[in-house]
Parts: sequence; C-alpha cells; structure tokens
Amino acid sequence: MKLEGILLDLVPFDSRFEEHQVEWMNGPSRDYSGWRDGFMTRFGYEQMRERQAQEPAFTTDRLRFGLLTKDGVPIGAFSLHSLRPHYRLAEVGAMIGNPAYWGGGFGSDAMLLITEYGFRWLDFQRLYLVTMGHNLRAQHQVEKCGYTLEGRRRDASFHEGYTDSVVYGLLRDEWPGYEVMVQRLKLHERAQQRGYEEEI
Amino acid sequence: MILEGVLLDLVPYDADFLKHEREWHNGPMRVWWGLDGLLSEAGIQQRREFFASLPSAGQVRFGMRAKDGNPIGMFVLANIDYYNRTAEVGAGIGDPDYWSGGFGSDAMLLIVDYGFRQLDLRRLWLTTAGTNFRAQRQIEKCGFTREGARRLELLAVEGPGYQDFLWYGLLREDWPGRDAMVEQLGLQEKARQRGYEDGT
Repeated sequence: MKLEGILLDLVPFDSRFEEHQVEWMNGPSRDYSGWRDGFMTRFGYEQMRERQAQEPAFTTDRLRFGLLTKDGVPIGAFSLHSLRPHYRLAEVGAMIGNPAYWGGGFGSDAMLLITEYGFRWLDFQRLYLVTMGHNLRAQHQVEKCGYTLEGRRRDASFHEGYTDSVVYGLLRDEWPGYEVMVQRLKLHERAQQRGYEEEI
Repeated sequence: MILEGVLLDLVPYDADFLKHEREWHNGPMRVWWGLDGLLSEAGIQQRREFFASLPSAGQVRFGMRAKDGNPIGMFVLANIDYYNRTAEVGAGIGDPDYWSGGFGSDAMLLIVDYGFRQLDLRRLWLTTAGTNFRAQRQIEKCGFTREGARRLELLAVEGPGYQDFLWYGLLREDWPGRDAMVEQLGLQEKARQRGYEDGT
C-alpha cells in the first residue's frame, strides 16, 4: 500500500529504510527521540529487531510507513501505533532521520497523509502524539497540521536535563480533510520549488 | 512491607485481596476502570496469569486494609521508570462503603511518600476519566496538578459515550511531606470519627 502525497509518499517500511535506521537513530533526531543513553550499533539494532519480532504486540499494534521523497530518497519513518480499535484512537509516531529534509514541508505532508489515513481509512475518531518539551520545531509543525495542545506533563522525560512531555490531539470532527490542509500549508508551492511539480 | 497510615495500612496484595477481586471488578468501581463486560472467575484467573507473565519489575502493588481490618481495595505504583524517575499511581477502592471517607486520600499520601522517599522518584502521575469528579477532587486535594485533558480518549462503559481522559502530575519539589498533608486533610479527625485508634 502506498499513500501518495505532494512532496513524498508513505510506503511500506522495507529494507530501503531499515538500512538507514542506525544512522538516523544516531543522528540529530536522537535529541528528540527519548532513546536514552548510548548510541545504537548495527548489532544492537539487529538484536532489537529480533526481539520486536518475538513480541506479538509490536507487530499487531503498529502500522509503520517509510517516507520516500518524490525524487526517491528515503528520509524517515511515520507510524500509527498503540492502536486501540475499541476506542477508535491511535498514536502518531514520526521521525525524519535525515536533517537535510527538516523544515521543507516533508514532515507536514507525511503528517497530513497519516492523519487522513487514520480518520478516513481506519475510521478512528481521535489521533494523538507526544513530543518532548524542547522539540519546538515539532510542536510548531503539529499545530500547523491542526493538532491541539492538550497537556504538558511536567518533567516527564530526561534528555540532558529533565524536560516536559507534551501531548497533542486531533479529533475527526476538527479535520477539514487532506486537500484543504495541503492548500492551507501551501505544499504545492513547496513541491514546485523542489521541481517535483511543474508551475502552473 | 507495610506502610502504616491513619485510616488504613498499605499491605502486601495477598490472598485476602485476591478473593475479593471479582466482586470489586464487577461492582461500582468498574465504571471508573473502563472495564467492558463483567468478569467471571475464569476471566479473573486469565487476568492473573497475564499479569503474572509480565516482568514484575516496574510495579509495586499494595492492598488497602482499613484499620478495622477489612480489605477494601488496591493501590499500585506502575510503570516505574528509573531512567526518567517517574511512576504512575493506580488505585481502586472496590468496596463503595469506603468511598468518601478519606481512605483513598490516606492511601495516596502513603504511596506518594513511598515513591518520593523510598524509591527516590521525582515525578508521579496518574490518569482518570473526565466524568470521575470524585477522583479529581481527591487527587487535587492530595496535591496533584492537572496537566492536560486528552480529549475524547475514553469510551465510557456506561453513560454518555466518549469522554476526556485527564492527566495529573506531582513533582517532588511540590510535595510538602506526608505529615503536613495528613494535617491539611484532617485525617486524624476522620480516624477518630470512625473510632480507629490514632494512627501516628
């Protein structure tokens, strides 16, 4: 399955993405990841994947996509996890591992795609996400995408000092739809600047 | 290990409590625990086996024994996170005769003190349903701060459908100590009214 966006597509999280994971986890993303002490080694990553494969919850509880830009570069991963069909809600997880693609609208495009997917395809009524207090870039971005600040869990996590854990939520009633949000965030203009789309 | 309070003690969660589990889960408490469907003895047994299969680290479970000797409910420190030094408080008074008598507050003060002083945690948190006003009042009396409302995250077992899920947090630096809180909440007076001996 492929979710087609303006700047990128969400595609199955396959070996094209796996091979970058260690590099991404050790890169600038780790400051916002909550991955705790130490750096990830390739061996450690393989061990972690083996362990995860043994956990039924990890595979049934999580829909994971790779972010593939329109010019074919794998740049990160988005997921819907902690799926709770009974309550019709899920958590969004996001990472752009390659910082060259920060601030270009890629994360917003992926967020809109996965939000649309959660509401329209999975028929969920609520999506939420959690980010660290010092990740102001992410907070700005998710607010642009329509998410509402619902709470600030004071000092709930540790990264070079204690930091808040910030919760955002979006209800289906508040979601104007993918197309409207693409217009609002001017993603077509971004795509034209990158040469992914021709100017009209 | 026993934590001695004014109206009750927190004691090991043993067979005395297990034998009440079904009655408690199927009683008025179940509305607030978001349990869907009544539990049979077999269901209880399955739950026990499931919980027993989880790693026991990261959870401390106490039974609430009122000073008159009756087992009335449970208090738990769960999700103990020694990296971020946080834990979640879980609670249920299964016997509604002991609601509103200060028992929950007494137990909360004991477990908070235990978390901060014995386990050296620096943040405790808990969640409750948006319509559980009794719990909200009690939690706020015990010094917790409301940090957020995750909108429409809970599907109520009985009542109006979706409701908010409230998050509360308490930092160690905001904790005046158990003695001060016992005084503030007038627990000694409540113990005298019940005819319990002075618990100090």
